[in-house]
Amino acid sequence: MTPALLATIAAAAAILLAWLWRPRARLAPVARTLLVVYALLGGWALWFGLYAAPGQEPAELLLWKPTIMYWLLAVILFVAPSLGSDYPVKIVLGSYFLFSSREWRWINVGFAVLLTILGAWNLLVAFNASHDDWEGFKWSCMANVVAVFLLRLSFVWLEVVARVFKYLYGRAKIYFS
Amino acid sequence: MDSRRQPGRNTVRLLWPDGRSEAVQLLAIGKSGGAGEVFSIANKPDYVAKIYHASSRRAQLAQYARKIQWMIRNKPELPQIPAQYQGIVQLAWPVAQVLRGSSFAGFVMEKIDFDRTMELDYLLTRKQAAGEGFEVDFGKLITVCYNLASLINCLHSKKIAVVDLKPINVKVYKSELYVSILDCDGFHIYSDGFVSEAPQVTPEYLAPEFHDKAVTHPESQDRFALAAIIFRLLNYGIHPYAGIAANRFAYPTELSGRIKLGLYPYGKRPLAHVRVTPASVHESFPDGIRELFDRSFAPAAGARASAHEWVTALSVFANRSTGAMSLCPKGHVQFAGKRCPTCLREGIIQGHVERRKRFVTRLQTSPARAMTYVKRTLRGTHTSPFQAALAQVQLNSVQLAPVTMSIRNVVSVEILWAIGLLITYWWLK
Repeated sequence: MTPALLATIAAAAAILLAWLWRPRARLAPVARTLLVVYALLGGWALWFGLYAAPGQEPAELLLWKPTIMYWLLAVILFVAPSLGSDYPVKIVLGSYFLFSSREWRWINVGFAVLLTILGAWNLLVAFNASHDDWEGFKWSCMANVVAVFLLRLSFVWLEVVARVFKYLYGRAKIYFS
Repeated sequence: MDSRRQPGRNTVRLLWPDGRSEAVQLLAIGKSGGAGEVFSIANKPDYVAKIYHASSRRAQLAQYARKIQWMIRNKPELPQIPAQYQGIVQLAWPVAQVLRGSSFAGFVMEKIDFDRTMELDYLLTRKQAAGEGFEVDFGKLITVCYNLASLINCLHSKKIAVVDLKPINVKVYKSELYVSILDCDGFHIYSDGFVSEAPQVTPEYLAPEFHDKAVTHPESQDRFALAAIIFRLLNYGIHPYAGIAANRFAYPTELSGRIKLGLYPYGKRPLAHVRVTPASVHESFPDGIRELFDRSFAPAAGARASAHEWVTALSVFANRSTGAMSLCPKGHVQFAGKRCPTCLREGIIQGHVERRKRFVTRLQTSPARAMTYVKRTLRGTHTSPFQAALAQVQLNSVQLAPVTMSIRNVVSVEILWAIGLLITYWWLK
């Protein structure tokens, strides 16, 4: 079995599990918007990464990619509350933190401003610095994604894993007693 | 005319809906209102009679008679009460006519046991409720809110509205938590075959569109009053339109003026010119309930949450098996996944007491420095950032909410998250 096949099976199993165990409550409009954005980015990555011929993706668009990601998120963060939706930053950080609405509003605005600046910064670096420098900057963007990953890992996933283990331990205790 | 002074006039005839008629003796209990007086009935301990004042105009009495006759024929179907709860009267609804001679004089209604009940008003102040032997917690409050919304929903489904819905007109059974609405003969009826308006209103619970006007949409008025009562019950008696003016804003002193201008400061989107009352715990309400409040107090009356919507939203919290209410580490009942409102309230009050103590100590030890501190706080001109921070905010550590979703749901959401992050990473690469 090749590693690619194994990875595909694992991904398919994860998606199937996510579908079967999904919460049945209606999704908030902000969460749906974020899902659509991810689907679009995923579709784009799949198309140009797997199906389109190499080099078909416009070179200039490559330079815009981090800006597109940052500004898309910034637009959602800015626009959603003014349309009456909840603060999108709650979904990004996880609603496991107990902040007041006022605090969430400031965190939301803070994130939106930061993302706007990062998007503009990417353009500045992409069109004024060398390609190597821009590559370096792009890696920093990926580090930001990893930072969100780590944030959820430490505050949410560890808690989830602990609960899963507690549940399994409880079941095992009942089984062996 | 006072019927207590005329023993002969205390014998009346009761006319029951099945056509039965019987002579009974009324006994004065000294309870008199604007429209009539309430009497107990000899040998009928479960009923009382309301006799309209003899000074009532003939035309008005005829109007009362038509309304009472319609009400006797059209009793609304009320929420089911479990069999173990005996003697609970949810509505003081007319069950028979009282005739003096051949003329209509009043009506008979089921008696509400005042020893088992207390005014809903008492629940707005914890001390008053404790004085009545009732320990308030958020679980009980939610149940009372749910029972009240259910009752209003039943009335609305029969095209009957209370209109003058306010805490003082509602009684709560202390052990069973069911509610009972008084003064049913003052209800607004807008059914297809019969219309009878209710002229009585209370400005603090009157929807903005009916200030200085007649109540033309009684159900909409009830929706507003119901939301205001639920808000006050859950927020330690704080009225939804009680706030603090900011930036020298011309803030009406009367609640009715604030209602008219739609100055509801507790919404998810705060008002620019009105701050919330510091002791408010509205931040600890579940999002669904806050949305219903926001809609109920929004300028557009069409979006106001109906009694049925309240029933649906509150039933989740009133039902223990859903797990929507949990206990905080201190043992208070709270909304799962939210800050504990009791701890929040205690923290606010404790913080206020400590700040006052600190200030008094400072004032005693160094009055001049204390005055400088006050002036700088008022002007926002502290030179030391540490002092500025102390003057402005109470620093709280970040708290984590317990995971309220099932473990399967959480795993599903987090898988989606991981996929999303991987896609973003791949897309950037």
